[in-house]
Amino acid sequence: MKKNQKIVFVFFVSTIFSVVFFSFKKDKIEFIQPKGFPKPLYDFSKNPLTDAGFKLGRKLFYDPILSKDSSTSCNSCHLQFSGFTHVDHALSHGIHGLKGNRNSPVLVNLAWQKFFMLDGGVTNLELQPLAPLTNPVEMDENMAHVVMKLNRSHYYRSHFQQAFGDSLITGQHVLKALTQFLVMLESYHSKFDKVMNGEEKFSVEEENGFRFFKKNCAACHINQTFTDGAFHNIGLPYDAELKDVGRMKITKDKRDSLKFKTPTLRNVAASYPYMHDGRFKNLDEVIDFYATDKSNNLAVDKLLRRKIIFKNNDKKDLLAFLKTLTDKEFLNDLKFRDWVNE
Amino acid sequence: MKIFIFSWFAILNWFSNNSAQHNLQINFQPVVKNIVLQLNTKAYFIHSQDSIFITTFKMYVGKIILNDEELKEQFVDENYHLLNVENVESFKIDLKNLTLKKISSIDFFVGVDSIENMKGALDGDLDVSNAMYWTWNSGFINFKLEGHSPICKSIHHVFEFHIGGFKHPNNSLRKVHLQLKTPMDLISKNNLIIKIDLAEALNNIELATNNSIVEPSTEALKMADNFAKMFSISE
Repeated sequence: MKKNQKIVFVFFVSTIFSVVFFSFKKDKIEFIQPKGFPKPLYDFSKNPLTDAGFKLGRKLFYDPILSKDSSTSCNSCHLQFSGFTHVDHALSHGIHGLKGNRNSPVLVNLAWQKFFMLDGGVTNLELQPLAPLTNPVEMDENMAHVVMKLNRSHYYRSHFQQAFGDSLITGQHVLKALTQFLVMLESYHSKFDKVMNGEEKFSVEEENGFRFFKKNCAACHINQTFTDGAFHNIGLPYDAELKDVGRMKITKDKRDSLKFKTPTLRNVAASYPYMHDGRFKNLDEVIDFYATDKSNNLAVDKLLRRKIIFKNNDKKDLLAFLKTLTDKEFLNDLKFRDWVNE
Repeated sequence: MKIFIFSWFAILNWFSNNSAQHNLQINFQPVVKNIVLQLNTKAYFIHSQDSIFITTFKMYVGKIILNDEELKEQFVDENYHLLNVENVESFKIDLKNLTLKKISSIDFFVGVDSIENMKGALDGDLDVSNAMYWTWNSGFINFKLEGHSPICKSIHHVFEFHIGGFKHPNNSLRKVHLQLKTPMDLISKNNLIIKIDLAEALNNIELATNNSIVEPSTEALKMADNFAKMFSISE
Protein backbone atom coordinates (compact mmCIF):
# COMPACT_ATOMS: atom_id res chain seq x y z
CA MET A 1 0.00 0.00 0.00
CA LYS A 2 2.77 2.32 1.03
CA LYS A 3 4.75 1.47 -2.06
CA ASN A 4 1.72 2.21 -4.20
CA GLN A 5 1.33 5.58 -2.55
CA LYS A 6 4.94 6.34 -3.27
CA ILE A 7 4.54 5.50 -6.95
CA VAL A 8 1.42 7.68 -7.19
CA PHE A 9 3.27 10.50 -5.47
CA VAL A 10 6.27 10.28 -7.81
CA PHE A 11 3.96 10.12 -10.80
CA PHE A 12 2.02 13.13 -9.52
CA VAL A 13 5.16 15.22 -8.94
CA SER A 14 6.66 14.36 -12.29
CA THR A 15 3.38 15.23 -14.04
CA ILE A 16 3.28 18.63 -12.37
CA PHE A 17 6.94 19.19 -13.15
CA SER A 18 6.53 18.38 -16.84
CA VAL A 19 3.38 20.53 -17.15
CA VAL A 20 5.19 23.46 -15.58
CA PHE A 21 8.27 22.81 -17.68
CA PHE A 22 6.41 22.61 -20.97
CA SER A 23 4.17 25.59 -20.32
CA PHE A 24 7.29 27.53 -19.41
CA LYS A 25 8.95 26.38 -22.58
CA LYS A 26 5.94 27.35 -24.65
CA ASP A 27 6.16 30.77 -23.08
CA LYS A 28 9.70 31.34 -24.30
CA ILE A 29 9.84 34.18 -26.76
CA GLU A 30 11.40 33.33 -30.05
CA PHE A 31 11.26 35.12 -33.38
CA ILE A 32 10.40 32.65 -36.12
CA GLN A 33 11.69 33.00 -39.66
CA PRO A 34 8.66 31.63 -41.53
CA LYS A 35 9.17 29.50 -44.61
CA GLY A 36 9.31 31.52 -47.82
CA PHE A 37 9.68 34.91 -46.13
CA PRO A 38 12.59 37.18 -47.08
CA LYS A 39 15.32 38.02 -44.57
CA PRO A 40 14.06 40.33 -41.79
CA LEU A 41 15.31 43.92 -41.92
CA TYR A 42 15.16 44.53 -38.18
CA ASP A 43 18.54 44.26 -36.45
CA PHE A 44 17.90 41.89 -33.54
CA SER A 45 21.54 42.01 -32.41
CA LYS A 46 21.05 45.45 -30.82
CA ASN A 47 17.90 44.39 -28.99
CA PRO A 48 18.00 40.65 -28.17
CA LEU A 49 14.49 39.35 -27.50
CA THR A 50 13.79 38.14 -23.98
CA ASP A 51 10.68 36.98 -22.18
CA ALA A 52 10.92 39.89 -19.78
CA GLY A 53 11.42 42.43 -22.58
CA PHE A 54 8.51 41.09 -24.62
CA LYS A 55 6.13 41.09 -21.65
CA LEU A 56 7.20 44.57 -20.67
CA GLY A 57 6.61 45.78 -24.23
CA ARG A 58 3.19 44.14 -24.19
CA LYS A 59 2.35 45.85 -20.89
CA LEU A 60 3.39 49.24 -22.32
CA PHE A 61 1.40 48.61 -25.52
CA TYR A 62 -1.79 48.22 -23.50
CA ASP A 63 -1.05 50.96 -20.94
CA PRO A 64 -2.69 54.40 -21.46
CA ILE A 65 0.10 55.87 -19.29
CA LEU A 66 1.82 56.55 -22.62
CA SER A 67 -0.73 59.31 -23.35
CA LYS A 68 -0.79 62.74 -21.76
CA ASP A 69 -4.02 62.22 -19.81
CA SER A 70 -3.86 58.41 -19.46
CA SER A 71 -6.80 58.02 -21.83
CA THR A 72 -5.24 56.41 -24.88
CA SER A 73 -3.01 53.37 -25.31
CA CYS A 74 -1.45 51.88 -28.45
CA ASN A 75 -4.22 49.30 -28.26
CA SER A 76 -6.87 52.04 -28.56
CA CYS A 77 -6.26 52.15 -32.32
CA HIS A 78 -4.52 48.78 -32.81
CA LEU A 79 -6.86 45.95 -31.79
CA GLN A 80 -5.68 42.38 -32.07
CA PHE A 81 -8.87 40.82 -33.51
CA SER A 82 -8.68 43.11 -36.55
CA GLY A 83 -4.99 42.52 -37.20
CA PHE A 84 -3.96 45.34 -34.83
CA THR A 85 -5.79 48.16 -36.54
CA HIS A 86 -8.85 50.24 -35.58
CA VAL A 87 -11.53 48.18 -37.24
CA ASP A 88 -14.61 50.02 -38.57
CA HIS A 89 -12.94 53.43 -38.09
CA ALA A 90 -11.98 55.31 -41.24
CA LEU A 91 -10.08 57.80 -39.07
CA SER A 92 -9.25 56.89 -35.50
CA HIS A 93 -9.95 59.11 -32.53
CA GLY A 94 -7.15 59.74 -30.09
CA ILE A 95 -6.84 61.93 -27.03
CA HIS A 96 -9.92 64.14 -26.22
CA GLY A 97 -11.73 62.32 -29.06
CA LEU A 98 -9.65 64.22 -31.64
CA LYS A 99 -9.34 62.79 -35.12
CA GLY A 100 -6.29 62.59 -37.36
CA ASN A 101 -6.30 62.41 -41.14
CA ARG A 102 -5.22 58.81 -41.66
CA ASN A 103 -6.54 55.29 -41.22
CA SER A 104 -4.68 53.37 -38.55
CA PRO A 105 -2.40 50.72 -40.16
CA VAL A 106 -2.24 47.05 -39.20
CA LEU A 107 0.73 45.98 -37.09
CA VAL A 108 2.02 42.76 -38.54
CA ASN A 109 5.30 41.28 -39.75
CA LEU A 110 7.05 44.53 -38.85
CA ALA A 111 10.52 42.96 -38.86
CA TRP A 112 10.33 42.98 -42.67
CA GLN A 113 9.25 46.59 -42.97
CA LYS A 114 11.73 49.18 -44.23
CA PHE A 115 9.58 52.30 -43.91
CA PHE A 116 7.01 53.12 -41.27
CA MET A 117 4.01 55.48 -41.45
CA LEU A 118 2.01 55.72 -44.67
CA ASP A 119 4.43 58.41 -45.89
CA GLY A 120 7.57 56.55 -44.79
CA GLY A 121 8.64 59.35 -42.45
CA VAL A 122 10.02 56.86 -39.94
CA THR A 123 12.82 54.54 -40.96
CA ASN A 124 13.43 52.38 -37.89
CA LEU A 125 10.85 50.27 -36.06
CA GLU A 126 12.26 51.28 -32.67
CA LEU A 127 11.44 54.92 -33.32
CA GLN A 128 7.97 54.35 -34.77
CA PRO A 129 6.08 54.40 -31.42
CA LEU A 130 7.22 58.02 -30.96
CA ALA A 131 5.01 59.20 -33.82
CA PRO A 132 1.62 58.41 -32.21
CA LEU A 133 3.05 59.13 -28.76
CA THR A 134 3.82 62.77 -29.63
CA ASN A 135 1.04 63.45 -32.14
CA PRO A 136 -1.30 66.08 -30.59
CA VAL A 137 -4.42 64.24 -31.82
CA GLU A 138 -3.25 60.77 -30.79
CA MET A 139 -1.45 60.58 -27.42
CA ASP A 140 -0.10 64.15 -27.17
CA GLU A 141 2.79 63.10 -24.91
CA ASN A 142 6.57 63.43 -24.93
CA MET A 143 9.13 60.78 -24.04
CA ALA A 144 10.71 62.77 -21.20
CA HIS A 145 7.35 62.90 -19.41
CA VAL A 146 6.60 59.22 -20.08
CA VAL A 147 9.99 58.29 -18.60
CA MET A 148 9.24 60.43 -15.53
CA LYS A 149 5.84 58.77 -15.02
CA LEU A 150 7.22 55.26 -15.47
CA ASN A 151 10.08 55.90 -13.05
CA ARG A 152 7.49 56.66 -10.34
CA SER A 153 6.04 53.15 -10.70
CA HIS A 154 7.50 50.30 -8.64
CA TYR A 155 5.97 47.84 -11.08
CA TYR A 156 7.75 49.33 -14.06
CA ARG A 157 11.05 49.91 -12.26
CA SER A 158 11.28 46.24 -11.29
CA HIS A 159 10.21 45.05 -14.74
CA PHE A 160 12.71 47.29 -16.54
CA GLN A 161 15.32 45.90 -14.14
CA GLN A 162 14.36 42.38 -15.23
CA ALA A 163 14.33 43.22 -18.93
CA PHE A 164 17.36 45.48 -19.25
CA GLY A 165 19.27 45.09 -15.98
CA ASP A 166 18.60 48.71 -15.02
CA SER A 167 15.73 49.97 -12.88
CA LEU A 168 16.34 53.55 -14.03
CA ILE A 169 13.97 53.79 -16.98
CA THR A 170 15.21 55.60 -20.11
CA GLY A 171 13.59 56.53 -23.41
CA GLN A 172 15.82 54.01 -25.14
CA HIS A 173 14.61 51.13 -22.98
CA VAL A 174 10.94 52.12 -23.35
CA LEU A 175 11.35 51.99 -27.14
CA LYS A 176 13.35 48.75 -27.09
CA ALA A 177 10.71 47.05 -24.92
CA LEU A 178 7.86 48.18 -27.18
CA THR A 179 9.83 46.95 -30.18
CA GLN A 180 10.27 43.50 -28.62
CA PHE A 181 6.50 43.17 -28.49
CA LEU A 182 5.89 44.70 -31.93
CA VAL A 183 8.46 42.60 -33.75
CA MET A 184 6.84 39.42 -32.40
CA LEU A 185 3.53 40.25 -34.13
CA GLU A 186 4.16 37.69 -36.85
CA SER A 187 1.36 36.32 -39.01
CA TYR A 188 2.17 33.26 -41.10
CA HIS A 189 -0.52 30.71 -40.23
CA SER A 190 -3.22 31.75 -42.71
CA LYS A 191 -4.82 29.33 -45.14
CA PHE A 192 -2.59 30.84 -47.83
CA ASP A 193 0.52 29.81 -45.84
CA LYS A 194 -0.87 26.33 -45.24
CA VAL A 195 -1.53 25.91 -48.94
CA MET A 196 1.97 27.12 -49.78
CA ASN A 197 3.39 24.60 -47.29
CA GLY A 198 1.32 21.80 -48.79
CA GLU A 199 -0.83 21.32 -45.69
CA GLU A 200 -4.13 22.44 -47.23
CA LYS A 201 -5.65 23.04 -50.63
CA PHE A 202 -7.29 26.14 -52.14
CA SER A 203 -10.90 25.85 -53.26
CA VAL A 204 -11.50 26.37 -56.99
CA GLU A 205 -12.58 29.98 -56.33
CA GLU A 206 -9.50 30.72 -54.21
CA GLU A 207 -7.23 29.10 -56.77
CA ASN A 208 -8.69 31.27 -59.56
CA GLY A 209 -8.44 34.32 -57.32
CA PHE A 210 -4.77 33.56 -56.60
CA ARG A 211 -4.07 33.31 -60.32
CA PHE A 212 -5.79 36.66 -60.92
CA PHE A 213 -3.90 38.19 -57.98
CA LYS A 214 -0.50 37.05 -59.26
CA LYS A 215 -1.26 38.55 -62.66
CA ASN A 216 -2.69 41.91 -61.55
CA CYS A 217 -1.76 42.75 -57.96
CA ALA A 218 1.49 41.02 -57.05
CA ALA A 219 3.78 43.64 -58.60
CA CYS A 220 3.28 45.77 -55.48
CA HIS A 221 1.89 43.21 -53.04
CA ILE A 222 4.93 41.02 -53.48
CA ASN A 223 6.26 37.93 -51.71
CA GLN A 224 5.00 36.47 -48.42
CA THR A 225 4.86 39.91 -46.82
CA PHE A 226 2.40 41.11 -49.50
CA THR A 227 4.04 44.51 -49.85
CA ASP A 228 6.96 45.98 -51.76
CA GLY A 229 7.35 48.56 -48.99
CA ALA A 230 7.45 51.30 -51.65
CA PHE A 231 5.26 54.34 -52.37
CA HIS A 232 2.72 54.54 -55.17
CA ASN A 233 0.00 56.86 -56.39
CA ILE A 234 -2.87 54.50 -57.16
CA GLY A 235 -5.16 57.26 -58.41
CA LEU A 236 -7.28 57.97 -55.36
CA PRO A 237 -8.72 61.49 -55.68
CA TYR A 238 -7.19 64.07 -53.31
CA ASP A 239 -9.35 64.82 -50.28
CA ALA A 240 -9.39 68.62 -49.98
CA GLU A 241 -10.49 68.48 -46.35
CA LEU A 242 -7.93 65.98 -45.08
CA LYS A 243 -5.20 67.62 -47.19
CA ASP A 244 -2.92 64.58 -47.12
CA VAL A 245 -0.23 64.68 -49.81
CA GLY A 246 1.39 61.43 -48.66
CA ARG A 247 5.07 60.81 -49.34
CA MET A 248 5.62 64.40 -50.51
CA LYS A 249 5.14 65.56 -46.93
CA ILE A 250 8.48 63.91 -46.15
CA THR A 251 10.50 64.32 -49.34
CA LYS A 252 9.10 67.72 -50.45
CA ASP A 253 9.41 66.30 -53.97
CA LYS A 254 6.41 67.02 -56.22
CA ARG A 255 6.87 63.67 -57.92
CA ASP A 256 5.96 62.04 -54.60
CA SER A 257 2.61 63.81 -54.36
CA LEU A 258 -0.25 61.47 -53.32
CA LYS A 259 2.04 58.47 -53.05
CA PHE A 260 1.40 56.21 -50.07
CA LYS A 261 3.17 53.11 -48.85
CA THR A 262 1.83 49.78 -50.14
CA PRO A 263 0.04 48.13 -47.21
CA THR A 264 0.43 44.44 -46.50
CA LEU A 265 -2.63 42.32 -47.29
CA ARG A 266 -2.14 40.00 -44.35
CA ASN A 267 -5.48 39.76 -42.47
CA VAL A 268 -6.96 42.22 -44.95
CA ALA A 269 -10.51 40.88 -44.60
CA ALA A 270 -10.45 41.62 -40.87
CA SER A 271 -8.96 45.11 -41.08
CA TYR A 272 -11.63 47.23 -42.80
CA PRO A 273 -12.08 50.05 -43.77
CA TYR A 274 -9.42 50.54 -46.46
CA MET A 275 -6.99 53.01 -48.04
CA HIS A 276 -4.85 55.62 -46.23
CA ASP A 277 -7.95 57.53 -45.14
CA GLY A 278 -10.31 54.58 -44.77
CA ARG A 279 -12.53 55.82 -47.61
CA PHE A 280 -13.62 52.33 -48.70
CA LYS A 281 -15.82 50.42 -46.31
CA ASN A 282 -15.26 46.94 -47.66
CA LEU A 283 -13.16 44.92 -50.09
CA ASP A 284 -15.87 45.07 -52.78
CA GLU A 285 -15.43 48.84 -52.95
CA VAL A 286 -11.65 48.41 -53.12
CA ILE A 287 -11.90 45.93 -55.98
CA ASP A 288 -14.40 48.18 -57.81
CA PHE A 289 -11.93 51.04 -57.49
CA TYR A 290 -9.15 48.98 -59.09
CA ALA A 291 -11.55 48.01 -61.87
CA THR A 292 -11.95 51.66 -62.98
CA ASP A 293 -9.88 52.84 -65.93
CA LYS A 294 -6.91 55.03 -64.88
CA SER A 295 -5.07 55.08 -68.17
CA ASN A 296 -5.65 58.84 -68.64
CA ASN A 297 -4.31 59.87 -65.23
CA LEU A 298 -0.61 60.57 -65.76
CA ALA A 299 0.02 60.97 -62.03
CA VAL A 300 -0.94 57.36 -61.41
CA ASP A 301 1.79 54.79 -61.04
CA LYS A 302 2.75 53.22 -64.38
CA LEU A 303 1.89 49.77 -63.06
CA LEU A 304 -1.74 50.84 -62.74
CA ARG A 305 -2.11 53.03 -65.82
CA ARG A 306 -4.05 50.36 -67.59
CA LYS A 307 -7.45 48.88 -67.11
CA ILE A 308 -7.50 45.75 -65.00
CA ILE A 309 -10.07 43.58 -66.74
CA PHE A 310 -12.37 41.60 -64.48
CA LYS A 311 -14.35 38.88 -66.22
CA ASN A 312 -17.11 36.57 -65.05
CA ASN A 313 -16.30 35.51 -61.50
CA ASP A 314 -12.96 37.33 -61.18
CA LYS A 315 -14.15 39.74 -58.47
CA LYS A 316 -15.68 36.96 -56.42
CA ASP A 317 -12.63 34.77 -56.85
CA LEU A 318 -10.21 37.53 -55.90
CA LEU A 319 -12.22 38.22 -52.77
CA ALA A 320 -12.14 34.52 -51.89
CA PHE A 321 -8.37 34.52 -52.28
CA LEU A 322 -7.91 37.64 -50.13
CA LYS A 323 -9.86 35.94 -47.37
CA THR A 324 -7.29 33.13 -47.28
CA LEU A 325 -4.84 35.69 -45.87
CA THR A 326 -6.77 35.81 -42.59
CA ASP A 327 -4.69 34.18 -39.85
CA LYS A 328 -7.02 33.18 -37.01
CA GLU A 329 -4.14 31.83 -34.91
CA PHE A 330 -2.55 35.29 -35.00
CA LEU A 331 -5.78 37.20 -34.40
CA ASN A 332 -6.57 35.02 -31.36
CA ASP A 333 -3.06 34.35 -30.05
CA LEU A 334 -3.22 34.62 -26.26
CA LYS A 335 0.38 35.77 -25.95
CA PHE A 336 -0.53 39.08 -27.59
CA ARG A 337 -3.41 39.75 -25.17
CA ASP A 338 -3.41 42.24 -22.36
CA TRP A 339 -2.12 40.28 -19.39
CA VAL A 340 -3.04 42.64 -16.59
CA ASN A 341 -1.43 40.76 -13.73
CA GLU A 342 1.95 40.03 -15.23
CA MET B 1 72.01 42.47 -11.14
CA LYS B 2 72.27 46.18 -10.41
CA ILE B 3 72.74 46.90 -14.07
CA PHE B 4 69.69 44.86 -14.88
CA ILE B 5 67.49 46.79 -12.43
CA PHE B 6 68.87 50.09 -13.64
CA SER B 7 68.20 49.30 -17.26
CA TRP B 8 64.72 48.07 -16.38
CA PHE B 9 63.95 51.43 -14.73
CA ALA B 10 65.42 53.24 -17.68
CA ILE B 11 63.17 51.38 -20.05
CA LEU B 12 60.13 52.02 -17.86
CA ASN B 13 61.00 55.69 -17.62
CA TRP B 14 61.44 56.01 -21.34
CA PHE B 15 58.15 54.20 -21.93
CA SER B 16 56.13 56.32 -19.50
CA ASN B 17 57.50 59.55 -20.93
CA ASN B 18 56.63 58.57 -24.43
CA SER B 19 53.20 57.10 -23.83
CA ALA B 20 52.18 59.60 -21.15
CA GLN B 21 48.47 60.17 -21.26
CA HIS B 22 46.88 63.54 -20.88
CA ASN B 23 43.39 64.82 -20.35
CA LEU B 24 41.71 67.75 -22.03
CA GLN B 25 38.59 69.62 -21.09
CA ILE B 26 36.90 71.50 -23.90
CA ASN B 27 34.80 74.31 -22.55
CA PHE B 28 32.16 75.64 -24.88
CA GLN B 29 30.97 79.15 -24.04
CA PRO B 30 27.74 80.39 -25.59
CA VAL B 31 27.81 84.12 -26.21
CA VAL B 32 25.95 86.67 -28.27
CA LYS B 33 28.46 89.11 -29.72
CA ASN B 34 30.91 88.54 -26.85
CA ILE B 35 28.23 88.90 -24.17
CA VAL B 36 27.73 85.70 -22.16
CA LEU B 37 24.42 84.01 -22.93
CA GLN B 38 21.73 84.27 -20.28
CA LEU B 39 18.34 82.73 -20.86
CA ASN B 40 15.13 84.79 -20.74
CA THR B 41 16.32 87.88 -18.89
CA LYS B 42 18.92 89.49 -21.08
CA ALA B 43 18.23 91.48 -24.22
CA TYR B 44 20.76 91.18 -27.02
CA PHE B 45 21.15 93.41 -30.03
CA ILE B 46 22.26 91.81 -33.25
CA HIS B 47 22.19 93.44 -36.67
CA SER B 48 19.22 95.65 -35.93
CA GLN B 49 18.51 97.78 -32.95
CA ASP B 50 15.83 95.33 -31.84
CA SER B 51 16.23 93.42 -28.65
CA ILE B 52 16.36 89.64 -28.81
CA PHE B 53 15.64 87.34 -25.90
CA ILE B 54 16.77 83.70 -26.01
CA THR B 55 14.78 81.09 -24.13
CA THR B 56 16.26 77.80 -25.39
CA PHE B 57 19.61 76.82 -26.81
CA LYS B 58 20.57 73.19 -27.38
CA MET B 59 23.03 71.77 -29.85
CA TYR B 60 24.74 68.50 -30.71
CA VAL B 61 28.52 68.40 -31.04
CA GLY B 62 30.13 65.13 -32.04
CA LYS B 63 33.08 63.22 -33.43
CA ILE B 64 35.65 65.59 -31.99
CA ILE B 65 39.04 65.12 -33.61
CA LEU B 66 42.18 66.66 -32.13
CA ASN B 67 45.06 67.01 -34.57
CA ASP B 68 48.78 67.31 -34.07
CA GLU B 69 49.54 68.35 -37.62
CA GLU B 70 53.30 68.33 -37.12
CA LEU B 71 53.46 64.69 -36.05
CA LYS B 72 50.37 63.78 -38.11
CA GLU B 73 48.72 62.28 -35.04
CA GLN B 74 45.05 62.35 -34.17
CA PHE B 75 42.73 61.70 -31.29
CA VAL B 76 39.17 60.80 -32.22
CA ASP B 77 36.22 60.93 -29.81
CA GLU B 78 33.35 59.03 -31.46
CA ASN B 79 30.71 60.30 -29.02
CA TYR B 80 27.98 62.86 -29.49
CA HIS B 81 27.43 65.48 -26.82
CA LEU B 82 24.27 67.46 -26.22
CA LEU B 83 25.04 71.02 -25.15
CA ASN B 84 22.11 72.56 -23.30
CA VAL B 85 22.14 75.99 -21.68
CA GLU B 86 19.88 74.70 -18.94
CA ASN B 87 22.61 72.28 -17.89
CA VAL B 88 25.89 74.17 -17.47
CA GLU B 89 27.90 70.97 -17.06
CA SER B 90 26.92 69.86 -20.55
CA PHE B 91 29.18 72.56 -22.01
CA LYS B 92 32.26 70.90 -20.56
CA ILE B 93 33.51 67.93 -22.54
CA ASP B 94 36.21 65.81 -20.97
CA LEU B 95 38.49 63.92 -23.31
CA LYS B 96 40.60 61.44 -21.39
CA ASN B 97 43.75 59.41 -21.97
CA LEU B 98 45.05 61.36 -24.94
CA THR B 99 48.39 60.20 -26.23
CA LEU B 100 48.90 63.44 -28.17
CA LYS B 101 51.33 65.94 -26.73
CA LYS B 102 50.27 68.89 -28.79
CA ILE B 103 47.17 70.09 -30.57
CA SER B 104 47.38 72.35 -33.57
CA SER B 105 43.76 72.08 -34.77
CA ILE B 106 40.40 70.60 -33.87
CA ASP B 107 37.53 69.24 -35.98
CA PHE B 108 33.99 68.34 -34.97
CA PHE B 109 30.48 67.99 -36.28
CA VAL B 110 27.58 70.25 -35.43
CA GLY B 111 24.77 67.73 -35.41
CA VAL B 112 24.34 63.99 -35.58
CA ASP B 113 25.48 62.04 -38.63
CA SER B 114 23.28 59.78 -40.77
CA ILE B 115 24.70 56.56 -39.33
CA GLU B 116 23.51 57.45 -35.83
CA ASN B 117 20.21 58.67 -37.30
CA MET B 118 19.55 55.23 -38.77
CA LYS B 119 20.51 53.19 -35.71
CA GLY B 120 17.23 53.06 -33.79
CA ALA B 121 16.66 53.93 -30.14
CA LEU B 122 19.90 55.23 -28.58
CA ASP B 123 20.92 56.14 -25.05
CA GLY B 124 22.51 58.97 -23.09
CA ASP B 125 22.78 62.26 -24.96
CA LEU B 126 21.13 60.64 -27.99
CA ASP B 127 18.09 59.34 -26.05
CA VAL B 128 14.91 60.69 -27.63
CA SER B 129 13.70 61.91 -24.23
CA ASN B 130 16.14 64.83 -24.64
CA ALA B 131 13.50 66.39 -26.92
CA MET B 132 15.98 66.78 -29.76
CA TYR B 133 14.21 64.37 -32.07
CA TRP B 134 11.54 64.62 -34.78
CA THR B 135 9.00 61.87 -34.43
CA TRP B 136 6.91 62.11 -37.63
CA ASN B 137 9.90 62.55 -39.92
CA SER B 138 12.55 60.60 -38.06
CA GLY B 139 15.77 62.38 -37.30
CA PHE B 140 17.72 64.33 -34.75
CA ILE B 141 17.35 68.06 -34.35
CA ASN B 142 20.97 69.20 -34.57
CA PHE B 143 20.49 72.73 -33.30
CA LYS B 144 17.63 74.32 -31.40
CA LEU B 145 17.38 78.05 -30.76
CA GLU B 146 14.19 79.63 -29.45
CA GLY B 147 13.30 83.05 -28.12
CA HIS B 148 11.37 86.19 -28.87
CA SER B 149 11.93 89.64 -30.25
CA PRO B 150 9.59 92.57 -30.98
CA ILE B 151 10.83 92.45 -34.57
CA CYS B 152 9.22 89.02 -35.18
CA LYS B 153 5.85 89.28 -36.88
CA SER B 154 4.67 86.05 -35.26
CA ILE B 155 2.31 85.11 -32.45
CA HIS B 156 3.84 86.44 -29.20
CA HIS B 157 6.79 87.61 -31.36
CA VAL B 158 8.52 84.27 -30.93
CA PHE B 159 11.16 82.71 -33.12
CA GLU B 160 11.97 79.00 -33.22
CA PHE B 161 14.76 77.41 -35.17
CA HIS B 162 14.92 73.61 -35.07
CA ILE B 163 17.65 72.79 -37.54
CA GLY B 164 18.14 69.18 -38.59
CA GLY B 165 17.65 66.67 -41.37
CA PHE B 166 20.07 63.97 -42.46
CA LYS B 167 18.58 62.77 -45.73
CA HIS B 168 19.64 64.08 -49.12
CA PRO B 169 19.08 66.85 -50.23
CA ASN B 170 18.42 68.32 -46.78
CA ASN B 171 21.44 67.07 -44.86
CA SER B 172 22.13 69.78 -42.28
CA LEU B 173 25.15 68.15 -40.62
CA ARG B 174 28.08 70.59 -40.67
CA LYS B 175 31.79 70.08 -40.03
CA VAL B 176 33.80 72.66 -38.14
CA HIS B 177 37.56 73.06 -38.40
CA LEU B 178 39.36 75.35 -35.95
CA GLN B 179 43.05 76.14 -36.24
CA LEU B 180 44.99 77.18 -33.16
CA LYS B 181 47.29 80.17 -33.68
CA THR B 182 50.04 78.39 -31.84
CA PRO B 183 49.93 74.65 -31.09
CA MET B 184 48.75 73.94 -27.56
CA ASP B 185 51.02 71.90 -25.30
CA LEU B 186 48.93 69.30 -23.48
CA ILE B 187 51.64 68.66 -20.90
CA SER B 188 51.35 72.17 -19.49
CA LYS B 189 47.72 73.01 -20.37
CA ASN B 190 44.60 70.90 -20.36
CA ASN B 191 41.77 73.30 -20.97
CA LEU B 192 40.51 74.70 -24.25
CA ILE B 193 37.81 77.36 -24.47
CA ILE B 194 35.67 77.52 -27.59
CA LYS B 195 33.20 80.35 -27.95
CA ILE B 196 29.86 79.84 -29.70
CA ASP B 197 28.54 83.16 -30.98
CA LEU B 198 24.81 82.76 -31.61
CA ALA B 199 24.68 86.09 -33.44
CA GLU B 200 26.52 84.34 -36.28
CA ALA B 201 23.76 81.72 -36.58
CA LEU B 202 21.22 84.51 -37.10
CA ASN B 203 23.50 86.50 -39.36
CA ASN B 204 21.57 86.43 -42.66
CA ILE B 205 18.18 85.55 -41.20
CA GLU B 206 15.39 88.16 -41.54
CA LEU B 207 13.82 87.63 -38.14
CA ALA B 208 10.78 89.77 -39.00
CA THR B 209 9.47 87.23 -41.49
CA ASN B 210 11.76 84.21 -41.25
CA ASN B 211 11.22 83.23 -37.63
CA SER B 212 10.15 79.60 -37.74
CA ILE B 213 12.15 76.72 -39.21
CA VAL B 214 10.97 73.42 -37.76
CA GLU B 215 11.65 70.77 -40.38
CA PRO B 216 14.35 69.72 -42.83
CA SER B 217 14.27 72.32 -45.64
CA THR B 218 16.38 74.65 -47.75
CA GLU B 219 15.78 77.36 -45.11
CA ALA B 220 17.29 75.02 -42.53
CA LEU B 221 20.33 74.44 -44.74
CA LYS B 222 20.86 78.19 -45.02
CA MET B 223 21.12 78.50 -41.24
CA ALA B 224 23.24 75.35 -40.99
CA ASP B 225 25.72 77.01 -43.34
CA ASN B 226 26.24 79.67 -40.66
CA PHE B 227 27.21 77.18 -37.97
CA ALA B 228 30.92 76.95 -38.71
CA LYS B 229 31.29 80.71 -38.29
CA MET B 230 29.91 80.59 -34.73
CA PHE B 231 32.99 78.94 -33.26
CA SER B 232 36.26 80.53 -32.22
CA ILE B 233 39.04 79.42 -29.90
CA SER B 234 39.91 81.74 -27.01
CA GLU B 235 43.69 81.60 -26.84
